Amino acid sequence: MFEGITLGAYIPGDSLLHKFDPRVKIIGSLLLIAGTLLVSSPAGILIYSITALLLLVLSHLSWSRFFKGLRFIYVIVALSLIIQSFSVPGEVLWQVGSFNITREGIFSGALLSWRLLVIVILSSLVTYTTTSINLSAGLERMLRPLERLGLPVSQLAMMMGITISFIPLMLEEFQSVITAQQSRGAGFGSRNLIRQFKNLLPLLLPVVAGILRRADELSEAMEARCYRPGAHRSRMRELCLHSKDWTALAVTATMLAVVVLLEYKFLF
Amino acid sequence: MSCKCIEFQNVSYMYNLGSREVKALINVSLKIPKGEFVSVVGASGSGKSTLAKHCNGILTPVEGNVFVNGKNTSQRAVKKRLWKEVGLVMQSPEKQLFEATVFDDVAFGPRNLNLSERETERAVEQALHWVGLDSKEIGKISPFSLSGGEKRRVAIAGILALSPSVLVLDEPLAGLDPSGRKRLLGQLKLLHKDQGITVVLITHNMDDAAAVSDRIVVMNEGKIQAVGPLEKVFLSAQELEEMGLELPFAARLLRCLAGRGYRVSEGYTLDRAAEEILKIYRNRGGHSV
Repeated sequence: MFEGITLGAYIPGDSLLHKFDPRVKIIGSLLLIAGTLLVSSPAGILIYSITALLLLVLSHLSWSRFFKGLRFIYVIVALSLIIQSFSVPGEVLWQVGSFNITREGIFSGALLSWRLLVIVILSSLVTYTTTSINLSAGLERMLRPLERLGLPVSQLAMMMGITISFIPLMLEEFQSVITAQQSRGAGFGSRNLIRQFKNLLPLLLPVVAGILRRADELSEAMEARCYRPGAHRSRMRELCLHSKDWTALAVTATMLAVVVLLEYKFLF
Repeated sequence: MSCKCIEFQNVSYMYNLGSREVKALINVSLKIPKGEFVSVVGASGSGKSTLAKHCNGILTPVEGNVFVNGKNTSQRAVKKRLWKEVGLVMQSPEKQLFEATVFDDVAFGPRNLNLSERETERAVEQALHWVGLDSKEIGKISPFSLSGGEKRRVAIAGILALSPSVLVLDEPLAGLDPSGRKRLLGQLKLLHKDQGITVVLITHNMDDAAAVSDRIVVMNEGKIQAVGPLEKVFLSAQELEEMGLELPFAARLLRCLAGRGYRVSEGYTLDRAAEEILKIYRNRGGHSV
């Protein structure tokens, strides 16, 4: 059931995108996402889509695998298109019951789902090319100034890293419990909603119990290796920005600056 | 075909179809007659578990066919009902426990069979009895408060309560202490003898396989390397070692003696080894006790 879902899972590689500093990937993707959201013309979104696809090429990831991993997102994208095309007033194209599908609705819905898709591609590129360790290292380094305000940054980063790396394990756990209960006649494929709901219990309980057990084991394993929350911890590879990282930052920042200048020129 | 209980016909199975394909079974053909006790042995990643999951339709072949009691598991209707005939005990089955009491957990299967409460009660008592537990004693306890070995036995009882005609167990002994292993293995053997059910035991431990099975299937890298009774399968120690397996302890002991010039014949169980050693002892003029 969960085979092939790779959302948030790292795919090893040796591409330029893999080698960028995680901070650059986080900030760069945020800058690109901000640009995608701010730009209003289809041409602008097109430029951002091309950028996203260019980055996908640079990442050397397999396209089929990349887009297969996003298949749950397509539902959301399609939904936003449908909802939007009903809910924007304007020139009525079709009537479905008491709902009106408008030209403006379809146009804004298309733009919205297009934007969503680009944003998902951009953010998936980050998680696909960055290990969870690197991701949390980048976040930790970026948030470190907040430590002065009493925010437990290193613990938060550790929690984030563990959460991310646990997602595939949880899917595995789900899969194995599903098969086990199916062997005892639980019908997860049942069309009956009440039956489906009743079937959640034999599924959720063992999985939650399993996760708690794993969390317990993990905390013991971490303590056995002298993890102390809040203690200053150095890293095996300290992060360091190279010229390619600065270039990437400069390019993405410039793109956003141009968008802001064009969209909000009345401000200046 | 109907006389064979489980039949694999040129079965291949791959995980992750499309991307990063992993071949788990390659052209596997196998017949398991009714009432047999078969062990499937192989190192980790040899395809044993995949084979087990094909037996009750959790997985269906990508290529080839699996027949259970003459019915093709690739058919949706067959696949959906197969759990009533083939009981599959998964790896670390204690993970599937979820009910508030041991009784309710074991009763989960029978209730899915739509048995009446009285029939369910009888099935649960019987199943717990088979694995050596007393329903009156532990029926009302939470399964989570049991020891690891007891949890395992409760989980196996959960499958036995369905009274399947075929029982497939995937590494049921892994992680149990020696006495727990011995007890469970003994109970399986008894169940096989008394109930006449077909048992497929998946294990990587040759000693366990040698102790209980009529026939052994050796798997390596998704293929069946050898099928047959113990004597035939344990032919070459070196070949087995290359597959990441090992001869049973008794066989290694006897080979070691043979290597030192003692005249012993081959054997695979501890009893057999003891006899051979006693023979040497007597031939040297010792007295048997």
